[in-house]
Amino acid sequence: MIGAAYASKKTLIHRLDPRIKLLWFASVSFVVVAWDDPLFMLALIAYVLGFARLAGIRPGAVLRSVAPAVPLLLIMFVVNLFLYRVPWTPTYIGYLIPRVGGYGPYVSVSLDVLVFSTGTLLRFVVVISSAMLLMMVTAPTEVALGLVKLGLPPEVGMAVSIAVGYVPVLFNQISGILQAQTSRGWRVSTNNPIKRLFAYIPVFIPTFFRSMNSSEHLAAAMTSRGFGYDITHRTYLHQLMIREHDKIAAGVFAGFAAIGLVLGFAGLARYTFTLHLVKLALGF
Amino acid sequence: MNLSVEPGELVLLTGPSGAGKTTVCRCANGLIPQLFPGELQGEVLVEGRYKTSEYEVAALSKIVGLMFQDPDTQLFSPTVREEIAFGPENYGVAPDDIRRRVEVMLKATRLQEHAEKNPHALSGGQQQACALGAVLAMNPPLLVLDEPTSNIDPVGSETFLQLIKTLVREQGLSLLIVEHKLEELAELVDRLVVLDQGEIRWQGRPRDVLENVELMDDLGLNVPDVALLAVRLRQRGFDIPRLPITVNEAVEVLEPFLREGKARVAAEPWKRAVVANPDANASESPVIIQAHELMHQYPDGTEALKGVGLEIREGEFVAILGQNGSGKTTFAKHLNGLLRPSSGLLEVAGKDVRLQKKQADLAAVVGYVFQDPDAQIFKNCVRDEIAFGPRNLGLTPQEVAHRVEEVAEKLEISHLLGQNPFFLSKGDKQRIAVASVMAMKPKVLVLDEPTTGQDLKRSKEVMELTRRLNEGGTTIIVITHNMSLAVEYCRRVVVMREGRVWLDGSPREVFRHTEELAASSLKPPQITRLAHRLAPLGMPADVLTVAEMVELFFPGEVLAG
Repeated sequence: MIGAAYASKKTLIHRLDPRIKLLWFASVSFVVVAWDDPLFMLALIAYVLGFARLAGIRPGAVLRSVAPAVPLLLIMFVVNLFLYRVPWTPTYIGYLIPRVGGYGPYVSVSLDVLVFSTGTLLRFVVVISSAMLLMMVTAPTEVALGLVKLGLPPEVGMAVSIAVGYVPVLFNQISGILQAQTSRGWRVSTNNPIKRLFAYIPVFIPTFFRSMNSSEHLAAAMTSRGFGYDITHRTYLHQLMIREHDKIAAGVFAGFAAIGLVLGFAGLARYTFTLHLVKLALGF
Repeated sequence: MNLSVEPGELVLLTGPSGAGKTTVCRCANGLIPQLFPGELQGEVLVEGRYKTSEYEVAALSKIVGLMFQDPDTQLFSPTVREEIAFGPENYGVAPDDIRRRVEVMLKATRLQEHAEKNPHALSGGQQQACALGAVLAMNPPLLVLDEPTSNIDPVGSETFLQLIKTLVREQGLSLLIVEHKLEELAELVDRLVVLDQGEIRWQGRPRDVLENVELMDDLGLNVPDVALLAVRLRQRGFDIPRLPITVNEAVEVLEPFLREGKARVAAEPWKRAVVANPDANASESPVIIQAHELMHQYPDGTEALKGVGLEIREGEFVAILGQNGSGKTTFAKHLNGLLRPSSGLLEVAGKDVRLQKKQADLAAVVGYVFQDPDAQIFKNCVRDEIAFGPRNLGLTPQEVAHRVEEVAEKLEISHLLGQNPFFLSKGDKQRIAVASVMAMKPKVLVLDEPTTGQDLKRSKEVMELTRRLNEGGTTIIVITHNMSLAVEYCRRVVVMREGRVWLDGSPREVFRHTEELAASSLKPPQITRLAHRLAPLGMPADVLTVAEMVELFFPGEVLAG
């Protein structure tokens, strides 16, 4: 879970102002949009993992956080192989589905599309791993506070912070409901996705009902603790202050983003870069 | 209704469910009428001048600090530290000052070492301590607490009430507290107010109000056993000028009588009464649950069960007691297959649970009723709600309909069958939850803390219901924290501690083991604790009810003669 990912540490990165950490995330996000070359993506992944290293987080832990998305990424990869076509004559290297008996082969795969799809796959790896890393090094309230200081309304910041703080409660509630219904002989015995959805109604409805109930009580508890008293003059336990090392880090991140964008707009970080290298190496 | 709390005054408000206690609390800081609308006549003044209908709740809360019953819905920050800081932050307190207040509160609530934890990762008592710290951090001159211990375990509840006692004195607060635990709080407060059906029945100094102890008992309030005992003894001619509330006071009052030989201590008739064994029939009936060296380890490595050995026979009525984390619920969840043993043997109705592949097969033998009926209700008609279980068993529509009618009649909810369960009272919802499980005709019914968060009257209604089911032949297992109810209704008590069965026997046998009970942090009913204290003077240490102890004292006529 998002909240569980964060662990308090005393590294240089952890001590950065949350706004600077958001800037780091933004720098990665901008560059990832401007680039699509697989080798450049690997460089970007190295940049993310280097950041993790400075934060005292093992690269393996960052990459593992991508694992839940792997099935989705693979589907996207295959879909790209199916659908993406280059506007020039590509170099075919084989078929996605080989000849079996009298059938096939189907879906020709070109080196060009393969390189492009790999780049796209890695793009998502960069986005997910950097987002997860941001959550690992930034306390939920810091994220909320950073967003508020960047101009979002305090209510939104509060919502982010509560959502994270409330995850364990929601988790307990749902597992309680699952057990209560299982105790009444409920089980999901179909693989049809639509039927499965309907089969979960006995869980959805109590979850919804309880959440409605809880939110009313939560609202009462929050107002009873002064929330909404004078929201523009609300103060914060954690003070945000841009210090010397924040400025240096900001310079580094902004510089990285600038170089990345220039490379991107110059067309150097296009997937054709790797494509040419591979073709050269293979002698096409 | 008219009620006022003076500066520095400590007021205890009590009353049966539906008396209007929560309504009073919600009126105090303007939640009613602002957040919970309804028809409100008359007015509420804070500090003698602020009308709650005219000022915002957030503003009034600066003066009236309101804390609620349920920890789940009043803690919402990622860490304890931030939870406590939340109030002062809203009032624009300077960050340095917030930090100071947070430190003071962390220390006062003894949560220093948990400051960076998620509040929901704490024990029940700690969660409420955190909520209290969060309210006190706003420095409100008046503290309003709405049943702060009703949803937490006895150990947590005791620590929390101790905390209240210390803090209220230290900080010189005014207090309005809604509680059922009169014994613990009567000494602390200046005034006791008894509310019933929206009206004040009695109010005054606690000891004066408790003179009405018999009437309060009739209202279904949790009155101190020793006060009830004293009133009953007075009626028998004993001269007790000052009503005792605590065990210590009762010892002082009763010791002289015992020394003068006015009690029939350890006498023959008493012994005879004890010998009668109501479980004589049950011991002949076949074993339905058999656990041997049952162990369970959760995926996170926690060993919740460390070798449970237990045998339950058909038709028994068993209470499982033990503090949180003792393994009660983990054990019970094995009975219907919600959890599987890590090792050891468990047989239910003669079948090894490890060989039962389908959970539904076990669910048909062992019914499990969860504490909160809202965890399962999802149909918009009671009839369908009850039919859900039997339908899952694959019964024919005729059989399902027949079972619904049958169980509804048995539980006296036939008149509710056409209604929408979402709009019913909590008591009715609970009946429906029990019915929806009973419609599967289980041989064993497990009730997981059915009385937690409910007052004595409601609790007794639930227990009466299970008693009827037991008389109809269902084996009953109740997981509970309530010793008095266990004594009154259950014929066998199993005390669990650290994943093992610690004590097992009739309530009388179990409550004789004072030291073992103390080791498992369980507190016998007040009257039993009094008996323990009077034991050196010859009082049997296993008195379980007020009526029993009254019988031990010579009636007034005998004294006169």
